[in-house]
Amino acid sequence: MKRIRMILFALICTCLITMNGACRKTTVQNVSIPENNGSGVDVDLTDLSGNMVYAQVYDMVTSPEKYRRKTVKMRGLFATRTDEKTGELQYGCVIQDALACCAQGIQFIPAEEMRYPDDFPAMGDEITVTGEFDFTMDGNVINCILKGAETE
Amino acid sequence: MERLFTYLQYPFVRYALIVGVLIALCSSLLGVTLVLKRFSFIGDGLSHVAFGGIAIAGVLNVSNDMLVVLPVTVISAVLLLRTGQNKKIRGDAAIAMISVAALAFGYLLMNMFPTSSNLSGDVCSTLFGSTSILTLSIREVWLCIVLAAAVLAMYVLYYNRIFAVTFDESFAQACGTKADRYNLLIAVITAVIIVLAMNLVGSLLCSALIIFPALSAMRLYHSFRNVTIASAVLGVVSALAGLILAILTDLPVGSAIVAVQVLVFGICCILEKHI
Repeated sequence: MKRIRMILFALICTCLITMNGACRKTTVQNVSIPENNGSGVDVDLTDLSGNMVYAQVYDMVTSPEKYRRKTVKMRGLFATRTDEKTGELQYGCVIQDALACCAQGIQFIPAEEMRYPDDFPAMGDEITVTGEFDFTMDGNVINCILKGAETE
Repeated sequence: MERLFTYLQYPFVRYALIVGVLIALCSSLLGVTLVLKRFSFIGDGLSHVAFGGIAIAGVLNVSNDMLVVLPVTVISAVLLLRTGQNKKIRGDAAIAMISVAALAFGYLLMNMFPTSSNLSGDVCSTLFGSTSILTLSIREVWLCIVLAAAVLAMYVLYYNRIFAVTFDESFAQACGTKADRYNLLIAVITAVIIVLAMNLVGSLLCSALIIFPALSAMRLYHSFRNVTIASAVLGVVSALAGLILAILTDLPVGSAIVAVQVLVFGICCILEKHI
């Protein structure tokens, strides 16, 4: 009887962790977004510590539907990339974690016409971006964008 | 303090604190038994095995890596506790052997069959935990609560048997206790906790959660029950303090928790001389 209980415990643990792993990639967190504080910015990442910013941006890129049409302000490292399909040059704001081994980035589209590289900081330099959050799906890949972005 | 209360409004911070406390509680309880059974390094060995399991899951392109990681870790835990009694390969040698072999093969496989463009990021994140604890979903939090409750229930239910097996396995067997079964139970619980703890402090620092609270408690108390209770309290307090410190000051979470545990151990060593 005791042996059965132990085996059952082991099986329950295995099943729970396995189920959790299976659900992990499709889970949408029940996260409440901080209220607009009157500044016109719904999610202000510039006031948060590095770990907090990384975790918040992780949530935004994994559960983007909650943040759609919210005004987001973030500070990170400026980066560019070229879209392989269209050849278009895209701009991004990248957040690194405390160990600087993992990074999350959000693309932004400037509100006004800007010329690269004259109107942008150098690659890897700090940039502050404020824009309306949106996302597109490319198969299973989520592309997060800040539209109408103002840069500082 | 105001900053901390602001951060507590974020659900992922609350999730991290809940899961951190639960993992610390379970691992510190189990730590007393493992330290007394001379298996302090088993957490390290098993977490390296789990790292190897993640690499194998990546090579096999298994979307749910837990399908590979958990069974591999549980089997390794059982083997390690069994080979500990083997006269040819002693417990410490068996752990060292499996630990480094799993780590080496894991890294080898990850390099040969990379699953993402950021290999160093993947390795770093798995080894040191990075901010995994701050990116948990509500489902993972519930899983942790259920598992922690199961571990605690098993520990309380079988406290007397675990106590007997911990101190004198041969005597416990002579008294009719099925020591093998309880060793199996300890092995399974250890593996489950290690797999969960990898989220909190990463693979390399897992064993700190197991050994430091137990060793600190042993500086202050000398009975099994008191050491167990003190270990649980010290483990939870250290994990909470480390987590809050990391969130407020931008330190890596795993390293901050272990640093606090080392500090607590140092304080307990000083207190020991004055008690």
